[in-house]
Amino acid sequence: MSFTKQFLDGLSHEQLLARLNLALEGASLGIWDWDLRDDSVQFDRRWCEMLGLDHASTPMALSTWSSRVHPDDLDRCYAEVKAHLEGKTARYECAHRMRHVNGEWLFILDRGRISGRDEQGKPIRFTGTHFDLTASERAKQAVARHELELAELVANLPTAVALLDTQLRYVTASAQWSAAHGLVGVALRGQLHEVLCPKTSPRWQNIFRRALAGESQQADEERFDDRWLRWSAQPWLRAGQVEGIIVSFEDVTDAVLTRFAREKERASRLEALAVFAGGVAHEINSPLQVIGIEAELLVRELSAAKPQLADLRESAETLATTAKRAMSVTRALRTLSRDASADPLEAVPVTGLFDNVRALCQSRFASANVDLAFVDGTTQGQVSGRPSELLHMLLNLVDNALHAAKEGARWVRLEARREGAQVVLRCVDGGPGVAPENVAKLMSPFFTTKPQGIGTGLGLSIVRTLAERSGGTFAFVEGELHTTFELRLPAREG
Amino acid sequence: MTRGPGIKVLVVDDEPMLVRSLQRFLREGFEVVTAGHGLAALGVLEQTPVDVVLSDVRMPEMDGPTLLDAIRARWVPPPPVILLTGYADASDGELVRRGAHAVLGKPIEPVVLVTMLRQVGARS
Repeated sequence: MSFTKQFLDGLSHEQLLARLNLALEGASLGIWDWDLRDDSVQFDRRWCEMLGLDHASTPMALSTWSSRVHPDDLDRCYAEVKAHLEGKTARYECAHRMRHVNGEWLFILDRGRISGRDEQGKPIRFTGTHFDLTASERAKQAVARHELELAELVANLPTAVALLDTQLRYVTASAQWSAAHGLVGVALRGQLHEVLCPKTSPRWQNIFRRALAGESQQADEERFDDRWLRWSAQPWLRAGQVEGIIVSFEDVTDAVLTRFAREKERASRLEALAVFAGGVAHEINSPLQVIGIEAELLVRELSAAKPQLADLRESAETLATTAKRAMSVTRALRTLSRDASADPLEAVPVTGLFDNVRALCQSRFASANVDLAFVDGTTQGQVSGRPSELLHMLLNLVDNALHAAKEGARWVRLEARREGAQVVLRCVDGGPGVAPENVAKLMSPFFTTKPQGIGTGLGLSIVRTLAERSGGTFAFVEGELHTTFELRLPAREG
Repeated sequence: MTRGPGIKVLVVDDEPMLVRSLQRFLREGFEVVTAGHGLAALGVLEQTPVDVVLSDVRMPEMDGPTLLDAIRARWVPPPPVILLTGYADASDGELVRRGAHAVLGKPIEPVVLVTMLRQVGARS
């Protein structure tokens, strides 16, 4: 005989009842006792209080219960009752919603069993308890909702993120991560990364290893094969223990390549400036020399007893012409120095463009004894573009042609003609031509046939970048008698 | 070398406008002959001995330094050569070592130029 039995046997009926009440109170259980013969139900005080009902005024009838059960749950309740009455279940159990007096829906765990039968064995009494599950149900729902929200957040993160445990098994990962690893639609949780991605590079394996060892790592731009990534790998710590790693990365290739292109272009523009600076010094210094002498001549002539009008006129005219020439050089230089990548496209006259090229190249060509000719076949044609970029393009072409012409017939020709909605600019030189094996490489950055120290080889690739940015094209024209590069740019109507 | 009425200067430059200005400016006190580049200058010198050569550095056909060397190889004693350059080159000292009387940067004060031509021309 157990201790409990002895203990209970020693208690009076009142004492037992008090104990039972205490237990029911502690467990928040309400009792119902249903008489199947007349559908009267005895609800106890706790049953009523659970629903906010006043025990004294509550009708002791089945309808008190059924009218408060959520309509969607009622059929299920009756089905469970029926199953138990028919002896199909050992007891009745049904979780259902019930309306509290204040209108709130409670989650009730309803349990009971037949507690009395008539002489024929027919059930006449059904007794059970109500347990209020609302708090735990709500908590459960909240947890489920939070889990869902968190899962959605992780899945939809704009970067590739993964949480891996110490064995590098997936805990979770974002959709971007799955996409980047070709794992779209694959259930990741619990799977080993090395199994899903057997081709993980030694670099990433090393990153994972170091993160597992507790090291936080990151890089703003690192090249992985043909892509540039911004990445971070942190140990996933819980109470000071490494539980796994959190890895994220973002493909920044486009941004990096755009920046490289801009840097490259800037370097090339500075190179053009440097290349032409020597010539520019000459282009400015020569006119200044003439201006200085002519000014002295003017003074001398004016101080003479009989100033000669013809001499005065010649000096004045020379001054005007020379000053104009010096100004065209500084203008061209200013055009070239400007970083115009953010400027809007404008209508640039071909003549002005050619003037700028002439101003900056004249002396370079003269001292190299190479003839530079301009043939503008557009009648006051205009190109859509940015003056500094257009000048930069033409200078690159002309300088390239100059180097070639020094090795062959010493002439370079810059031509312009209108063709439909485009202005076609051609740079033709008398050089020995492009070797067939080099044609394909012409436009690649850093390709050059010039001796080391002369040019970076960026020229033609930059021309193409700039042409495309202005909505045009740039190509080497094959099959021409002389080396010909062709720029096609959108024409603008005057 | 035979001496004319004034100091005889050969101006060599591929910039016609500068040649013309110098020619007009040096009219007073100098006798001026001109050439557009080094090769042409040598041709002029074969015909006309001069007191001083004032030459540009960078020119087509034959540049200033080459002209300098050619003059020093061909005439003894050679006429003094003053080089006038528009470029900022590090080779100025080198040209003096090769025998240039002076290497002047453009632009130079016309008065300074005249003074120098006069001194050099008178000595030679």
